[in-house]
Amino acid sequence: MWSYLRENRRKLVDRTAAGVISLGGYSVIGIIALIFIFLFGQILPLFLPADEDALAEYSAPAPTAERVLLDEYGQTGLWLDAGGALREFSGESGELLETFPLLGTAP
Amino acid sequence: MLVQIGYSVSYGDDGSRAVRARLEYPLGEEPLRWAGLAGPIEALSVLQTEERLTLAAAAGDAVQVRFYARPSGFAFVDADWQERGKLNIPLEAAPDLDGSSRRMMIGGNRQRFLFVQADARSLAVYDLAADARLHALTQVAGEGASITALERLSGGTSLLIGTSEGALSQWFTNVDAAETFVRAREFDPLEGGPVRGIVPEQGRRGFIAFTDADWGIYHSTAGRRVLHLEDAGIAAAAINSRSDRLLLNTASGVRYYGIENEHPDVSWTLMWGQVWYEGYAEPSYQWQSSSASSDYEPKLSLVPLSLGTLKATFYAMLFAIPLGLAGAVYTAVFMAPEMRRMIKPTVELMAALPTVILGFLGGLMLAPFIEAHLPGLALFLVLFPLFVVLVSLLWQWLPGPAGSWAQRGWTALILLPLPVLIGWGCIALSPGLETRFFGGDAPAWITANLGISFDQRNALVVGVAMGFAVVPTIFSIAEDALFGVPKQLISGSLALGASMWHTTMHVVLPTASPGIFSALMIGMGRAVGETMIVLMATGNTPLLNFNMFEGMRTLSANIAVEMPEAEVASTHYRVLFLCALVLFVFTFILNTTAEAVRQRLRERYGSL
Repeated sequence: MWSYLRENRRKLVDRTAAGVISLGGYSVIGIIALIFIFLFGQILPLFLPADEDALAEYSAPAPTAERVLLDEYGQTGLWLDAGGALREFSGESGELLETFPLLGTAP
Repeated sequence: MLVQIGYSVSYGDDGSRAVRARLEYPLGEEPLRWAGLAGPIEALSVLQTEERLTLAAAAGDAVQVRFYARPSGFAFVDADWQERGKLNIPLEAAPDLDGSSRRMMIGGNRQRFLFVQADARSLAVYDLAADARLHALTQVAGEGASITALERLSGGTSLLIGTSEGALSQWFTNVDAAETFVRAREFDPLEGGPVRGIVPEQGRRGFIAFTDADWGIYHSTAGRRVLHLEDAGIAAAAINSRSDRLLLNTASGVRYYGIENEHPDVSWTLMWGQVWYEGYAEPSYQWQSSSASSDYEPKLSLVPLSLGTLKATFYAMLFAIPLGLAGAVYTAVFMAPEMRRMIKPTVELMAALPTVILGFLGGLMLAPFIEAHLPGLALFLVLFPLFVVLVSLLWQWLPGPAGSWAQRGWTALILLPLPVLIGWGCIALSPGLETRFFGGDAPAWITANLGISFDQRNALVVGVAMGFAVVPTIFSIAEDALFGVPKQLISGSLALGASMWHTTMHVVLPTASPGIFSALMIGMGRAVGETMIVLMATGNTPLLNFNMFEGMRTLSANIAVEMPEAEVASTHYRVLFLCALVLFVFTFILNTTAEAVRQRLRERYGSL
């Protein structure tokens, strides 16, 4: 009777230990796989192609363009035409904000 | 008159942002007069840094260059520019430019060069630091083509040249090399006629180029086109300094684009191929990711790092395999059991040494010691094996108690003074040898006579220091495997008349080979991933050689050194993660191969 119980307990401990050990092994493999996925996720953006997205379209602030500039945020543009007038306009909508006559003559 | 654009940013109550331009006149609001130039001004160029401003104007048969300077620093915010000098450079009066006007650009490191179009295909380069001497006159466009666009790349060192055939190339001046103005690379050409314009990005080496019908975003160091689109009648383009908004003036109006282009500066060739960096004499593999200057071109080749990892591993294994394996064989097979009980835990205790301490000892004590006693060390490497042979010959003739000690496996203890004595003798002889044969300075002698440069922190030091970290691992696992060989096999072999040595070589070693192999592979895995020792004892110079007297930078040390300073989500940061992935793949391949080999060995010898 007692030996039967002891036998049972031994089997239980045995099975629990085996379960814990294989769980440990599988979780190590799982964690290594997760590390790999994390590394891969960090690296992936390096290999993504560039993409463009047409945000707006409007008519040009002046017929000629010697030089066009955008500020840091791309919010405000500057447009220098052949006549020497510098036009400040909204990059997003093309709305004219101000005109600076650089050569001293109003456009 | 020089107009500079300043921007004032204001935020509304609702968090909206308003950006307005403001005109500034760094050289005064009065128009600049160019005395000495005749006729209308054909080309203007300006280049400005904190302290220097160079202005050039071309008209008729001359260029006038004006130099300005201002004090910079904390106490001189927006100090006025002071004119520092003027130069007049004569030009050919009316060159054949294929109908376009003359192009001109100031560029080069520290605004040193002036590039002026000499004819339709050639650029003349004047060295402004040497009284405008003609530095080079180089044909930059192919036969039948002409220059249609000339622009400076961010940083000012490189020039981008577009031609009437849509070709795009990058050029820079080389002060040291024989060729003085070189084409570093050619980009994918654009369709649709001549290149109309090139717009450089700010803060990185990218640019936009367009023809009438075709445009693309490029990156110079990576040498690739990241975006390529078609449109009609493109006349002008602009990009903001964050490189995420682009404006294109086309025949059908202005197009305003949002651009998603976070990492144009990475390509396969950049990481694994030779790249011609600005100012270098030729294409090369370089790792130099950052610098104090924002004009800097990041160099992100993984080749020197991977090679450094292999180099460190190689030298560490060169030190650790003979010591660890021979030690394991002796301890398991020949040594007296009482002695083995002391030796094994002691060696295993070495594995508990923190690598910081090993690195510290290696870098701060071993490295200067090796540098000071190089001839003695070389002498030791030659003398020691000779002495081993000599002593074993003598041993055979030694009668009596020594012989019986040897049979009981206490030889090691008796022989211990031998390497100590030889080592001490060699070190004592070292200064004399150095004066006698190496002119008093062995490192200098090596550099002068063998053509190998010598660094104090070199692969030899790392080999020894990292070898110390790897030896316990190899020793412990290999010893267990050897000791676990069934005793009946050994007894059987001895009973058949084989000597102990023969038995060891032909019975014990093959039977234990799967275990020995795993010992080597685990040791090697440790050496590949080891960070602290190589970080402290190698000097961390990303070199591309296998010289044992020079340092290296390994992938792991590189991550440790640079990760704390890399901007999160920047290219540099992600490339460091790529280093980690490469390391991961390295060890993964190594371990998988090792496991496969071990399985085969086990199948072969497991039945014994």
